[in-house]
Amino acid sequence: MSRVTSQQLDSPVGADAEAAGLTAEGLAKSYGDVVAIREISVSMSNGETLVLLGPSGSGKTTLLRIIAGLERPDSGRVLFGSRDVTAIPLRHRGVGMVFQSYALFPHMTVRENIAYGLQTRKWSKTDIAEAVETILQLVDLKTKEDSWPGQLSGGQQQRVALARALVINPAVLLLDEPFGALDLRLRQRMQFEMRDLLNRIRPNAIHVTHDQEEAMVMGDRIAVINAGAIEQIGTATELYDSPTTHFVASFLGEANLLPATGEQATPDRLTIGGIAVAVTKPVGFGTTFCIRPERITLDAPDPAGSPLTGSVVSATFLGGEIEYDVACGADHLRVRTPSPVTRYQVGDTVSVQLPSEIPLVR
Amino acid sequence: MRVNRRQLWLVVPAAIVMIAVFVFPVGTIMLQSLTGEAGNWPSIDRFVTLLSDPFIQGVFLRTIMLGLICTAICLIIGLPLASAYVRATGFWKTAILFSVIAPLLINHVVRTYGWSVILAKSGVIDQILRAIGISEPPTLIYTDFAVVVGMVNVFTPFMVLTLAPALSRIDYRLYSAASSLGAGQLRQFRTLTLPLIRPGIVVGCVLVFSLSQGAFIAPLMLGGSGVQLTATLVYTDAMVLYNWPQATAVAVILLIVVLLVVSFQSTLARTKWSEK
Repeated sequence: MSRVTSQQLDSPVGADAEAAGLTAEGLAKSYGDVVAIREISVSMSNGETLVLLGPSGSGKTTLLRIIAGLERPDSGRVLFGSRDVTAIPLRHRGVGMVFQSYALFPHMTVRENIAYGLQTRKWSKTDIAEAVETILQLVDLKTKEDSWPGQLSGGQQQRVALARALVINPAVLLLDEPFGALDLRLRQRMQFEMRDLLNRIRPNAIHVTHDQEEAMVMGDRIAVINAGAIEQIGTATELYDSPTTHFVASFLGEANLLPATGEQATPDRLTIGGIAVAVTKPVGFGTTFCIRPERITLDAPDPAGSPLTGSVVSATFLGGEIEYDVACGADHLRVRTPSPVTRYQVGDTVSVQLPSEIPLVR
Repeated sequence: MRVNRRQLWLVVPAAIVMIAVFVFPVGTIMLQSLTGEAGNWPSIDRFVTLLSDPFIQGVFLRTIMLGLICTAICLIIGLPLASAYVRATGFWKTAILFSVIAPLLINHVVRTYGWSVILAKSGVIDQILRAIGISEPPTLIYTDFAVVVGMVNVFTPFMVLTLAPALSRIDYRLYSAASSLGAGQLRQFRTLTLPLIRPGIVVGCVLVFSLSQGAFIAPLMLGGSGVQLTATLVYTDAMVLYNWPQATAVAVILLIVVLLVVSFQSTLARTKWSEK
């Protein structure tokens, strides 16, 4: 945009200034004895949506607040592009924030809400009207421009919150559990809607959530955060197919975690029900194998086939899939198969076929 | 609100008390105020005479003026105090609440007497002014100034207790949102706090103004005979001059002034945005 001068008056690190992604370097934060963030470094490229995924109390919200400028880290730096913004407070940081409660100004119309950030930047009336008009079209709220927030549905309110944050052309868009207040069905619809919208605008976005499905829908990359540190960072596929830690394996999707044995450096056997099974292609490093329930196949028992047999303890019909609990000795495996294939009954003996490529986790 | 008819008897005790101590005396006063100069009834003579009397006009105007000043000062003192209370936590919250409520627990007359000591000629303030080199300090006691001080002291808690809930209803995240949009403290106060608590401000101001119009003890003890206000005028007419019809007529005018203000309250406090 061509309004750098008017914006810089009010906001020294205004979004229009050159922003080449975002970097957090060695961030740490404690509240008294409570460590919120142990040590986090992460960087994102321009136009990327990074999801911070973790359980409550993992430090993901603290990280977001530090990046927003609502908190000062005990150590470390936050860079927008090459500019160090660690000491710059929220007001001058030029970030867009979307809150779980939306935090719309209840006494202002949709139009006034969206114009707020431009008015503080002392834009001219005509420029504001033009920018608001554009963003209203983008979020498809043209017909609601004169409504009060209280008259809008949850989904519409969220679009207003998004428009209000995006219209200032923020250096980074921060989304704090933005779907938390919506019911499940609407939440899923809004996730796709917002992802498409963000894909069109491509802002730098950081999205905090504890919902793994939401993380997979929204994130170009996902950083799984646990106990104040990043466990693993990567695309949804990377995290799902090759988790590197126990925590990631069980937090993102379902996992059968089985102890690995064999050579210390590259274990090639796993133990299940007291039987050691050879793994053709172990991937990564660690002491535990992680097998996703849908990667396991079940067959009718065949003395010449798999060395591994088990008995079906329960079979649960889930619509598209059937989830089996298969007991192999003292161990239990969770197995998911597409539902049209042969169904096994409780008590059936089955031969269990493990995938050839199995990731190791720490 | 829907009321179950069979439970209506629950309001009977309260209704009896209200009729006995409120409707009956106020009704009597209203009827009495319609007694004419020559004892004829009903007549509006009294009102015509009163309202055309420059002295009485002066008393009313002065009461209204002092009431407005007092309301404004209560608002200016009460708003920061109420926001301090809302933001405080733990010990400080309790401490602020206590300091606001404590004066209400001390008798009105005792407190006002305290002010008359503080403001008296050669009282505390007088002494301090002399000590810092003002040889002829202005007279404080028995002035409009003293009356306003007394009233502000008595009415500020009502303002604070009305504003505090209005302030605490504001979602604090609105301020984070405004900050992220580049708004400073002053702008946030002007564009968020003020419009959002406007209904509370209106209610608080109407309450304090109404109370100030009937204020009796402050003008009596701190205003002396030099400052006549409506309530002291009623007292003089009724208890000194034994002119009950005139006293009741003044009281009715006072009542009308207050009712007018109160009737504006809902209009002033209305917010378009909270109506669906």
